[in-house]
Amino acid sequence: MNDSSKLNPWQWSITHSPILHTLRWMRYKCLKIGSPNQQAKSIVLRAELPNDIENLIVTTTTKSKLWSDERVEIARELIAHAQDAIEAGRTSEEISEQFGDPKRVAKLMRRSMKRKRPLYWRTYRNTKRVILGSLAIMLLFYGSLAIRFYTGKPKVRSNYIADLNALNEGYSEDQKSWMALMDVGLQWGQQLWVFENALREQGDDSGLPRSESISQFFQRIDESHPEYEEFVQLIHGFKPELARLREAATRDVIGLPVGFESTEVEWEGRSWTTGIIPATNEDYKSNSMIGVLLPHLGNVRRLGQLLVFDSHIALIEDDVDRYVQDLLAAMGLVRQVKQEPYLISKLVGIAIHKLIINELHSTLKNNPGLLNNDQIIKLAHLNAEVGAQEGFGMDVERISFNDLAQRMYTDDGNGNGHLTAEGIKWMSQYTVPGRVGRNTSVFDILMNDESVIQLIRPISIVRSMDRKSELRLYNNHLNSVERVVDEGPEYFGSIIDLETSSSFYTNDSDPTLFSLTKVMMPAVGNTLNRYYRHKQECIGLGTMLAIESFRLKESRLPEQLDELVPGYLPKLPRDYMNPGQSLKYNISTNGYVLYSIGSDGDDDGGQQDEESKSRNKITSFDVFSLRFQSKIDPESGLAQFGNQGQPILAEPVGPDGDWILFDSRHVSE
Amino acid sequence: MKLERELMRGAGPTAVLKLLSTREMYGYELVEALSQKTDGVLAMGQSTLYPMLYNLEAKDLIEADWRSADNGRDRKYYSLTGKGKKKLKSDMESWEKLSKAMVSLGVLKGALA
Repeated sequence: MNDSSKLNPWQWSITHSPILHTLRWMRYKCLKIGSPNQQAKSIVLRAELPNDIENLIVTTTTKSKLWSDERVEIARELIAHAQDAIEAGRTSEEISEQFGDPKRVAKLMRRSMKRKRPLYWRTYRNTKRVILGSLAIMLLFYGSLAIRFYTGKPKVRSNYIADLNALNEGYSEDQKSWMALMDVGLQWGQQLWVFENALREQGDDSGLPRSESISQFFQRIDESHPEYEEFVQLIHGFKPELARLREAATRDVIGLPVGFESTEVEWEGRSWTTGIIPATNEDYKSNSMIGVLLPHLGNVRRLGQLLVFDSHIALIEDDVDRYVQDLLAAMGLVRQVKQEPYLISKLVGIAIHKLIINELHSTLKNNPGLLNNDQIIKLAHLNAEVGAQEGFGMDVERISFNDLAQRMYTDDGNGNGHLTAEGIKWMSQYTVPGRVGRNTSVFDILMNDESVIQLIRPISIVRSMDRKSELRLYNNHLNSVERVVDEGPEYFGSIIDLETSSSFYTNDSDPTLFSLTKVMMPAVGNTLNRYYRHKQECIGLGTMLAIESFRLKESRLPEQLDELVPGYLPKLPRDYMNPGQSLKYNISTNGYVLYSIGSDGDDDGGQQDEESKSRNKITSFDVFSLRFQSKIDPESGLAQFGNQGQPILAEPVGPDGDWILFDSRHVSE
Repeated sequence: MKLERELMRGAGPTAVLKLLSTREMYGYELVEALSQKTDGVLAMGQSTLYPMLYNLEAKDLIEADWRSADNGRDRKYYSLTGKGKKKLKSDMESWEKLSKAMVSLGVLKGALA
């Protein structure tokens, strides 16, 4: 007897192991040693049946494709049947006719014989079916994703360039300064370059180390520098252009048209940007907002430095009118550049304003009474205008984001869509989404292989956020940023933490997890801090100028800041570090100190911690995010909010000491 | 006259179980018995019988045993298991009910007709 169902599991596993079965099959197929049908066939041949019946049985066992022992079983059964029929007097024709089509018989035999196979085999077969079925479903699913991903086409529908161009539509060319800024900036840039080359040729002894740019040199050069006189002569030779620059700074706007291509000239073997080719309304189809050129910003920054430096020289030359004109022009540039909708423009304006403040600090400290009241009032008014300029450049950030989204995602007509291969490819010219930094493991190496990335990237359709979700996340985040701008720095804690607000956002090294929000989100923490520092410094400078004006008129310092209101200031100067309170003002016999209570949130009487000062931590006195930290719920790890949605503040963590905005005390000792 | 495939599929196994309830039988013997006792109505060839037997065997309704017959040849004898007996009893009751229902409807001729 050879009945496989009677074997114990161990015997069965040896006899019917799929692996051993495969090996046996390979032996039969590859080495031609034998076949599963050989034993059955030899049994049939030994039975000496008529040829036609013999053929039928052999064909049936062969076609059954069963295991060897099962074929033997069938062969023996059919032989016995045929022999019984012959013994009963049936002819071979009758037997053959009753037998029917051997292929069909083999099929039926195979089906029923398999049902007899033991549980182990059926489990193996069902498992294999489940796995193969799952693989097939996954393959089908992946195939549909790949088709969607690789055939999806973004549709560029909105012309955001027109929105930006519309900002300058109301101004005539006479009201715009961009042409003058480009011309004067080009000439000054070329002069500086010649000066820099001459310095570099002198080697490291020239006072311009290799590591230092001419721009950095520009900020630190003073009378003690060996090249100071030459530099002063260079600026003196630039008088006509400076006059043009001062006039340009009084205009309403910069008004640079939006463009994706600059105009260039060759000079002294180098290419110099002279202007911009304004984009047409058709250009938006092939150019994104991310490619908008702002070539004037470098010029504005350099020209701001030039004006402040020239004011410094004017002071040395006792030319107070020129001193004030230069500072007013520099302040005019700040006003113009801050008026632009771009965040980067506002940061350039803030940087120039800082130079102006430093210069005026030095002057009011070392030369009190130098400026007359009219000059002080002009400076104060322009400073107040600059300080009151609203906006943080988030509108253009939103426009840029929407513009990128329409170039990366499909559009279903309802504002939603999925990532596309075309969009990812397009984005890769600016950033490489989802790459592992170091090849430390096989996985990392695979994840950095372009062909592997191409293969798995369609999964980003399900792994990454869709267009609507990205827009929602980005806008929610920007809304929280704008709330800080609108409501005050004490709302710093309400800025949405992107890491915890979206589970799609966290993995840097996954090529299937792309987040446009992550790519596009400006570094708002530091920028917001600079924004409020600038606003505070504008208020500080305005207060300082008001005190100087008071001193000129009353021949004394005010006892309290209240004395300045309303004659010199419209209201008490706000201290952004101290919600609802004004700046602190301490008067002594040798001068006064004007200060904010700083990032530690308490009044230290106008003193900075000397130890912190010596460790170059002075800037941390003016860090708003240290002052206004949110209270964190220990259980959830999330920021806590009050009933009105305002953040509940934790104890400030800034360094002990105040933020000194102006200290005149050592001047009149 | 031969039954349609669906009817055969329902009646065939019960018929085989019934034949095996009397004594153990080998394949050819079953073919002959089915043909003769049913006047050819339930006659079936190897292509139908052996797959059916294997199915019944897979369900543990019958069991098989190779034995040498008197003429010295090997034959596979099939016999009913305990489970097969219960199944036969249940099938017979079902057929009984079906038969009565068919009589009631006049499909079959019987005592009620």
